[in-house]
This record gives sequence, structure tokens and C-alpha cells, in this order.
Amino acid sequence: MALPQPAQSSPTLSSNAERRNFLKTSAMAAATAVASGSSTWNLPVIQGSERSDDVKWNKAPCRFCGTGCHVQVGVQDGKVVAVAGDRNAEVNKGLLCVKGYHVGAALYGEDRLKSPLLRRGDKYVAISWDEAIGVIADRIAAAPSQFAFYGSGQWTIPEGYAALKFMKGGLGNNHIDPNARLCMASAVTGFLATYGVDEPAGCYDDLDKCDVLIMWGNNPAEMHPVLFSRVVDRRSRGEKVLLIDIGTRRTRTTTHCNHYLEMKGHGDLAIANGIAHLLLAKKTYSQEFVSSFCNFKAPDDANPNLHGKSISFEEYAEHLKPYTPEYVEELSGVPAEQIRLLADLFGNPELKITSLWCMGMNQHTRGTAINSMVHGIHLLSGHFGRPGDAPTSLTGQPSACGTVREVGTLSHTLPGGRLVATPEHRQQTEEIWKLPPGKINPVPGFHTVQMWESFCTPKAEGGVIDTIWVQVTNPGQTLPNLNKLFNKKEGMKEKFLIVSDVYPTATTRLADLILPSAMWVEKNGMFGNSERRTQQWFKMVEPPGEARDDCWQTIAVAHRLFEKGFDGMKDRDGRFLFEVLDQESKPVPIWNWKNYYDTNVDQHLFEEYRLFSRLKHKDLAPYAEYVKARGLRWPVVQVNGQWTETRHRFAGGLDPYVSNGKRIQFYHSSTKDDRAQIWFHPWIPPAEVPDAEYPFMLCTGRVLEHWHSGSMTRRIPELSRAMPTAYVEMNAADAADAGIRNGDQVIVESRRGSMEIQAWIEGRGKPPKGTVFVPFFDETKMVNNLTLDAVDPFSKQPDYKKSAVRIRKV
Amino acid sequence: MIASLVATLKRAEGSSFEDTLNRLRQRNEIEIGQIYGVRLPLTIEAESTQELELLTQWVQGLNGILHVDIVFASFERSIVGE
Repeated sequence: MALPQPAQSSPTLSSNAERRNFLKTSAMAAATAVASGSSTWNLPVIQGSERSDDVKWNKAPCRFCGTGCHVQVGVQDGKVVAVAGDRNAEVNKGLLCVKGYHVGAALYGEDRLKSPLLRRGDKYVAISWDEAIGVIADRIAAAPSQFAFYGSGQWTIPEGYAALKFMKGGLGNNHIDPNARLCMASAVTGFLATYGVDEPAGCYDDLDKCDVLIMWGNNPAEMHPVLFSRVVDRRSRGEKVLLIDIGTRRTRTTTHCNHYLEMKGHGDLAIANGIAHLLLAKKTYSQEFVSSFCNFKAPDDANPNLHGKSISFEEYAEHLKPYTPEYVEELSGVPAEQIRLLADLFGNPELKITSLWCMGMNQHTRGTAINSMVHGIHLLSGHFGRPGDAPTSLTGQPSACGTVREVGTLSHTLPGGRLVATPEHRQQTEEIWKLPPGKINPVPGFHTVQMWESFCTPKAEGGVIDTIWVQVTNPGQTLPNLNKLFNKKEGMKEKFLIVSDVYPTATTRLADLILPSAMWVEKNGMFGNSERRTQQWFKMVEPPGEARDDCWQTIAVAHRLFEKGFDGMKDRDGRFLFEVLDQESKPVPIWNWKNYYDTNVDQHLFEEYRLFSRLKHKDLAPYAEYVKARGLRWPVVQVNGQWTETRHRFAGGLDPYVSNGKRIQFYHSSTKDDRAQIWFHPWIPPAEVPDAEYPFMLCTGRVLEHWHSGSMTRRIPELSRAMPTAYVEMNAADAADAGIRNGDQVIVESRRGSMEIQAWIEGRGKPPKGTVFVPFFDETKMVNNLTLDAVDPFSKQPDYKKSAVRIRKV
Repeated sequence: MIASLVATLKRAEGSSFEDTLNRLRQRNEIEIGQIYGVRLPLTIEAESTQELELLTQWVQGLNGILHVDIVFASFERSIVGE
């Protein structure tokens, strides 16, 4: 099977010493170029002398978070041997974080899954791919409506698109949802409720331009360190950037901030209202911006829906009246003076203010509300539409935006921002997919929590989902309230769990069929990062053993169903739904692994997918443009024959879809008047609050060294040594009261489960009295046995940040 | 195993940039490049990934270092050896 050729080659050196010197010179040149800010530098290894080397270099986005750093990957003798930050990448400008530095090693853990494994009794037996594909096809054919597909923002764009088409086009079944439901669904609903269309208007350039950076429940110093580094770097060069951390515990981010506003859970709702209250009271809001570009909204309690009900400015002001700084202090715990500080900053039109957030605002039972409210403050104050003035959400997964939000792998969506419930959208999709009219099911499928609850409920009790296929994620560790939503599967013989992954995980533990997957540069791929940037890479090394691409797995099952005569996998002309034709118009048998790379399947899928991208003005360029670039931010439009990206949306002169002469135009406004919506939402308490029985508030989250559930990073020795196991962070006074010392084993328990774990007092993070923090990366310490599965009413995203627990020393 | 970093220097109380540079120069495994403002390029050469990691942490922990960004990493020996 032919691998795509890297763009350029580099020198050969005859001896190890010579090669070491060459690498060292290259490494120093790379660092010097980054330090000097030279704009002419290219990766020195690639630009080396004309001699050819055994190390081949090519570009790829990092495998881990949603930042989308580009790396140069060095391959020698069929293995990834080196990784360098890509100086030509605007996202990271040559830099990497500790995880990106080790990303190549994530391929080489000793326990990679290498062959399909079928559970027989208490054991697994290795089976052929042919048999494995047959097992899945038989399960689906027997009950297609009881099958569900669960993926994530780790799906590449073509993988997610294929899975979506398989489900909604092939099976007429909408039970497909991603792990991203647990990460950023509330960001989606916040954007939709405000602008009528999803995803940030701004981009990372705002970090280079802002005067004030406000982090709302966000810890970018650990979670998006390369982005945070851009801001810290500005300060180190003498630029004045005011950093403000609004959070529930002190973190590494706090140490860099000018102001730390420590709030209680759900305090953000009160703070946002407090800022808006003062902007109105002091008349420092932007009357011009509001009167020209905004409407006002409030929840419609009689008929709860994402778009609420329209209210007047006067009604909005009346709703905000109670939220004086003193009342906000009472609700949030943040001193009134600090609320005034925030309001004064927003009230200053000379400043450029960027807000950043991620899980803190999204994993929230009022996630849609707080997302909308932060957008609202920016709109109310006019801090919108200039570079540096932007409300910007970040994502945790590398393609949460590209694959989930744009492709539409959520249970209610179709590609390009379409909805299954909208007849016109179904019709457009059926046309592009060449389906018979009426094929797509108009009823949204189960969202994540519903899907797993149904799977873990016996059929006799109404649990209709009997088979789930999991790709590229680890719900056995990351779902909330695991004892309810995952662990109950154990022993339920009528339920069948299929898991495609690269390593054994907490999810494969209960799998009935395990499929070994290729990862990252073992396959072609495309990701879409947090700033609307679509990125592409080529396969560079072979996967180990029998491991194969997730996308191939989906297509192979689709074709097996097609062979069995399953009508859904035929288009309206009776042809295979995923048919790819060669230059002589003959089908390429991409369902056979040996033929999968005879053509570029990613390119075929992407070219079809991009037909969907125009409806919501998320235009994508042809695949070939992404091969040349380090990503392009949509909408990508042709200007004088050149494919040109867009950095800032909705602003005249910056967004090609804003009409000539308009300063701001929200052209997907839900009120159809080119205006955005400024929302009022009341403060309400969290779904669960500490009480006498469970007196502590538990917050979960991540750490710098590990990504997501740790299934990759815990297999990288350096990262594992640096952060070997999870811990519970405690406040020193709370620990003293309970007689707990640093390193003591404690039991943390909630109404849903318990865990034994080591206490860390005054550690990396510092939770205030009455709160504790546990990271979720460690599969030996399953904090999600404790978390609550209450969800936001619109996004259906759970709140992992506020569960009541008690703690006792072992 | 070779890595290169960009260290951002800070003016720690009671010490100068030169103090920090001297401490770095004392390590044979570390080679420092030309400083640009507060940004210092440097390479680390080590026998193992563990040693590389420890040296990186040592640099990060120096009093005059604000933060460290990683630019380049080779790790072929650790892979080949496993």
C-alpha cells in the first residue's frame, strides 16, 4: 500500500556523531528562529542541504487538544522519531507544550491493540477482520433502529462524516452522538441562541491584540498552554495585557493573572448579570452598538426553547435591577469591588477585551445561559467585531469544531449546520447523498446521556438501544455517574458493546468486540480546531499489527450490509452509499483494506462534505488547498482566484459575507434582522449543592501532563512519571479539620459512588474552603463514579464541576 | 536525544540574566544560543528521555526562568529501544 510522499527530504549523514551534530544544529536553529521571531525561517531540517537523509518530515496537527498546534513529524525506518513545533504554523509559531513534545511517543505504547478481539465468556479470542465486520453487520441488520454510534471530536472530519452518513443516510437512524456533548455542547447552544449560528466570530489573533484577557472558569496555562504562552510572551516583551481569572480554585493560570476573582459554583451567572447591571446603571454600555445591532431575549418559561422570547430594552433593564454588586457578591462570593472592576473595564470603549472559556462554562447545568450571557456582555458594551474584542470559547478535543459542530455528528444535526427536524435540511442532505426522498428520520436521536441510559437499561424495562459502537473515545471513564450510565452494562448479555480504540481502556473492559484502530499519522486525516481552522495531514507510518483506520471500519461494515442486500446502504440508484470511482468510472473497492489507500478516501469524503458548507457560510476550500496550508479558517472564499481564509466574522471589511458598507452584520440572526440577541437569564443555584451530609463541592478537570482520559498520555513514560496518578486537592483548613495530611489516603463519596484516593494539600491547584478538585485522567481513580448526570436543558451537557461529596480518612 | 527550547527569562530579585545564563552554562548537556530580549534559545542533549525530561524540568525550575516552550524533540532511541 503506497504511502503519500512527504513534501521534501533532508540530508543524510554518514555517522551517528555527524547526524547528532546535524540534529543539534537544526534544533538550535529552530529555537533561535522562534526566539528571534524571524518570519523567514522554515524548519531547518527540511531546509537543510541538498543531501538526502533517512529522516523524512511532514506536517500534521497535534493529536491532542483543540488548540490545533502544527508539528513537523520526522519519520525514519517506518517509525516516528522526532517532533518539532512548526514555525510556519500561525497557531503555535513553532512552539509546543509538554504533551505535543511527546505526541509521537503516543503511538508506541507497549500494549497497542493489534487484532480484533471477540468476547467469549470471560475471555477474548482473536478473530479476523472479516469475522468482526460480519458480527457488527449482523447485529445492525437484526435491529437497525436499536443500534447507536458513539464517537467524539477525536474523529477526523472524514471519519465523522462517514459515521454520520452511515447512520442518518444509511440506517435512517439518528442515534449518533459524540463525547463532545460532554465538552462543548453548551458553547454551541450559546452561539446559536446569540448569533443564530455556531462557532466563534474571533480567532487566536485576538490573543495578540487584546488589552484585557478574561478567563471564565478557564485554566489555559495547563489546558491550552501554547495559546496562553502567546499572551505571557507579549507581557515578557513589555506589552501591557491585563489578565483576569474568574474561577472556583487557584490554578497555574492564576499565578500569571493581575486579578483573581474566586467565585462559588454558578457564581458566573450572577457576575455576568452584575456587569450588565452596572453598564446600564452607569450608562457605560454602547448605546450605538446595541441600538444598531442587538435585540433582547429572556427565557420563555411557558414554552422553554433555545430562542426564548423577545423582550424590550426596558424589560431587560428591569430584570437586571436586583443584580447590584452587593447582591452579586452574596450570590457569587466575589467582592462587590471586583464586580465594579469588571464593569469598568467593559465600560471603557478604548480597551480591547477578549473572553476565553472552555469546560468551566460549558459543563454547567445552565451552560447555555452563561455562554449567552458572556456573549451578551460583549455585545452590550460594544466589545465585539474588532481584532482583540471577542468572546471566544475553546475546545478540549482536536476536532470538536471540525467534526462535531461542522460535520454535525450530534444526534439532532446534519452536515453544515443543518437539523434533522427541518424538512428543507433533510431534503438538501438527501439530494447530496442521492437518497430516496424521506429517507432521513426527522426525529432527533438520543443525546449522550439518553443513549447510555437506554443502553444500560434492560430491554424489558424500555432500554431500546441494544448495540453501541464506540470509536475514538472512552465513555467508560468520561461519562458522568458511571454507575448508572456505564457500569450497569456488566453482565447484561442482551446488550452488545463494540469498541474501536488504540489501547485497552475503561471502555474496552466491558466490550464484547474490540477493534484495533490506527491513530494520528498512521492514517490520513483532517481536524478542525477552536478557531475555525481546518487542517490536513497524510499518513506517514503503518499502524501496528492488524490495526486499521476507523473510517475504513465504518465503510467496511456499510459494504457488508450492502452485500447482504440492506437497502439503506444503497443510494436511490442502487449504488453503494460510499462508492468511490476511479478515473475510468469504476468503483474502487475501498471496503477491502488492501485497496483502501488505492485512492485518497479522505479527499473523496471531504469534497462531498464541503458541498454542505455554504448554507451557514462556513465555506470550505478544495482538499488540495489544505494540503498546501497549515490550516485555513472558514469561511474560505475565492478572492482574485486565491482561496482566502476569514479571521473575524460578522465585521465589515473582515468577513466577506458582510454586505458592503455595514460595520457589523449578524447575517444568521435568529430574528432575521441581522441582529444578535442579548440575553437575560436569572441566577439559579447548581443542581446539587453541599449539605450537612455531603459538605464539599467536587470539581473535576484536567492537568497539564495528561490529555482527556489519559489513555494515550499515561502510556508516555515521561508524562506518566511527571503526573503518575490522580489526587484530591483539598483546602488546608478543611484537611486540618478532618485530620488529613498530605499524602493520606481518603475516601471521597457522593450519593452516586465512592473512590479511594490520595490527598494533596496546597498542591498545584488551591481550592477554597468547602471545595475539592479531582482530575479525571486516571482510569485507576474513577472520579466519574461520583459525578452528577444532571444536564443543561438545551445543550444536554452534564455538569462535572459541581457534585456534593464527603471525605473521610481511610 | 536532543531537544531545543526557548526559555523566557525574568528578572528575579537579587539576580541578573547573566546569573541565570551562568547556571545554564555550567551544565555540559545544555548549550545556549544568542539571547533575543528575554528569549533564550537552548539545546539539551541527553542519553535518555528521562534525563531529557529532568533537565527540562531543571531549566524550568531555575529562579530566573519565567517559562519554557519546547520547539524540537527527537526521541528515536527510546522508541527503538522499547
